[in-house]
Amino acid sequence: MNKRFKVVVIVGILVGLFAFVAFASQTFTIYEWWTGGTKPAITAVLNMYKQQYPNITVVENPVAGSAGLNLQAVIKSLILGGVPPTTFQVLGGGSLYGYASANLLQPVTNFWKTEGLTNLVPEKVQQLCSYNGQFYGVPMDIVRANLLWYNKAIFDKLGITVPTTLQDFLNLLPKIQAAGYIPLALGDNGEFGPGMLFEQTLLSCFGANKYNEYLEGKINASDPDFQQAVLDFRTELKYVNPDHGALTWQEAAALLVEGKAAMMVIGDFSMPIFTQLGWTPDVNYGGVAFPGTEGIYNVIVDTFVLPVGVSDTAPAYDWFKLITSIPVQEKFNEMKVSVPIRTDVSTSTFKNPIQIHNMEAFKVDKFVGSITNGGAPTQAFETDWMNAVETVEYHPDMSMQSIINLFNAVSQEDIPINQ
Amino acid sequence: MKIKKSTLVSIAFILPSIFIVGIFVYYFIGWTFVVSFTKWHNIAPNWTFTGLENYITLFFNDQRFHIDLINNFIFLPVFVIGTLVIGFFLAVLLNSGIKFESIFRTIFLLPMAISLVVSGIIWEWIYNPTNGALAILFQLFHLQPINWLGSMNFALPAIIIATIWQYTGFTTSIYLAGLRGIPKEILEAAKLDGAHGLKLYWNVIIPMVQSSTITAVVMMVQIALQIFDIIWVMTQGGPAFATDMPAVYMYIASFKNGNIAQGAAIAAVIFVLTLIVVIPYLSTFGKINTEE
Repeated sequence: MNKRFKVVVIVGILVGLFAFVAFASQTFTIYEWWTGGTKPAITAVLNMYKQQYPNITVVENPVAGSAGLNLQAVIKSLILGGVPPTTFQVLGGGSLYGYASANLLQPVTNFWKTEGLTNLVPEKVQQLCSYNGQFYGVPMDIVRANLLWYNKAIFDKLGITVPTTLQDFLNLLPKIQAAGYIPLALGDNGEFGPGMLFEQTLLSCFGANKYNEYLEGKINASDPDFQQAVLDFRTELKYVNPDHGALTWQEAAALLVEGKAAMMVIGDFSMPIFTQLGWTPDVNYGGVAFPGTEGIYNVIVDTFVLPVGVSDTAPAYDWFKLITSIPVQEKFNEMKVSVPIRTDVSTSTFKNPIQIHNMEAFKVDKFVGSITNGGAPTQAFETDWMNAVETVEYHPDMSMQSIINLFNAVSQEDIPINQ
Repeated sequence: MKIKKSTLVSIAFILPSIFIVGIFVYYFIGWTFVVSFTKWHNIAPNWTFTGLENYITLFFNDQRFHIDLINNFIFLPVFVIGTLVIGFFLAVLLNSGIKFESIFRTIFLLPMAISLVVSGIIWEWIYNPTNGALAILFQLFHLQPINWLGSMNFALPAIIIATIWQYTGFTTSIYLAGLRGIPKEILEAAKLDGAHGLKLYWNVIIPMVQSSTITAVVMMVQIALQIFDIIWVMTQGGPAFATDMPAVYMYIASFKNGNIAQGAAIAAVIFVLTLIVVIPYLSTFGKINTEE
């Protein structure tokens, strides 16, 4: 056997082995948008998955930006192209309903039942993960949207207490401004900021039941409480940082940390940013339910789903089992500073007092979905609603009737009926 | 009729590209038009024919689309004229025998090599009202910094300036090639006939680079009508649609809302607008080439 032939044989064997390994091993392709402050948390869980399932090849595809908007563009292209990933991240609610109503997801109802999640996860969260009686999303964490963050040093210096009613909150704004601080930090760039501020103001004016009725289309923007929320929102806008249009919510959060602004309204996904900027909860900052919404949990659910077209579903189910297990719920949510989806996760392993308070509230509060974060009936509703908020924000002279018309025109088309 | 062997060889060479362009360009343009006439309003395909419904909604009921068209019609002429005038001016400078010409040429053409996303991030920092380059400059002169991207009045001009900066290198290179293609004898003859300074440019040089102008106009117009990347990075169409453009809306409609038919209708409108503006220029270009 000459030397050249030997080389050819060895290369052939190596290629054959590689092909065998490639075909024999399972692949788990995951798409998610946790790329910023929450990146270490998802990386830790993916590492646990790799350790538990060493034969599965994990293909990670993080897509940054706009709370999953960029990821959705990628996913929709993949699904329409017939090459869906094993699993991908989607917000519970309208976003998930969109995929489910289009028959693009495989139901995971049996998983929910066999794992006993139906007894451990609150009903509203179950509703946000299901469509027409079938579960389609497996939740990984809970985010609370109705939170008011405040700079403790500024509050102590001014001798003011944390407002508990919307009127107290509105009364506080001019006092803080008179002391030379920005009363309310806001960042419009990237959609979130103004939508979340108005959403919480509306929730405060409506209360949980009426807010849900609004989302169900039983009442509309002509309601006096809705109009009051618009007026209060306009008041709030008089006390925000003048450069709010140019800043992202993260940049606005920095104003709070730098001691330039006294308060900010944003979800608890802001806490990793505060930590990164060197802040300690209950020492440098406080986080409480937005005034007038104590006892209400404005819930955002991050879920993972199983797309239609995935033939080897075992790696996906292994992932679902892992992410809903107590050890992962503890580890992931502690790192991400979010709330576990299971009510049987003990608070004893958690250290962040605000997070612990939210975990306790999660067990007893009334739940409402977040319009700005997946809880709207459809994605089109969410987009139109947030656009309407931004229009009101930048047109202070707009008449109330025009505002009512604007919100009542929010897309009602093709709302999937979730029974 | 007997076909020459050389003709057959030429056809054989052209066929693969015709095939690829046919599928990946013209087939999908046609597909987009077909989708725009359907009820594909969710992620899953729905091929129910709806006629012009999506277009009627866009033109008669969709306020955001109206704002986008107005924004685009403001953006387009300012951007095209800006890139052409500055590009021509820089090309003339480079062609005038300036010292260190190659260094200047690199400086002028460099923005063209940067992706729109990267330049969007750079300009976002320049415009940052707190610690951006312009804010620092304004503070040096004791002026109040402007909230460029957060203001309804300044956001669109700010985006236009950034985009002109990005594409001026392109028009400069086109004009530079055009200027270098003018025979020296013609310029000398014109000077002998008394054409100097502005007169020389107006009566001789500008007409001589007409084909460069047409190429640049066609390219800049289609860039303006399809502008997306830099806006997405800098403002995502905000504040309150002040910088929103049809392509941004197309992206949101298709990929956020999952309304593929609406996105396709917007894409079709952009395509038709591009044709309306570009075809007359292309036909003029053809005439010029024939005359030459």
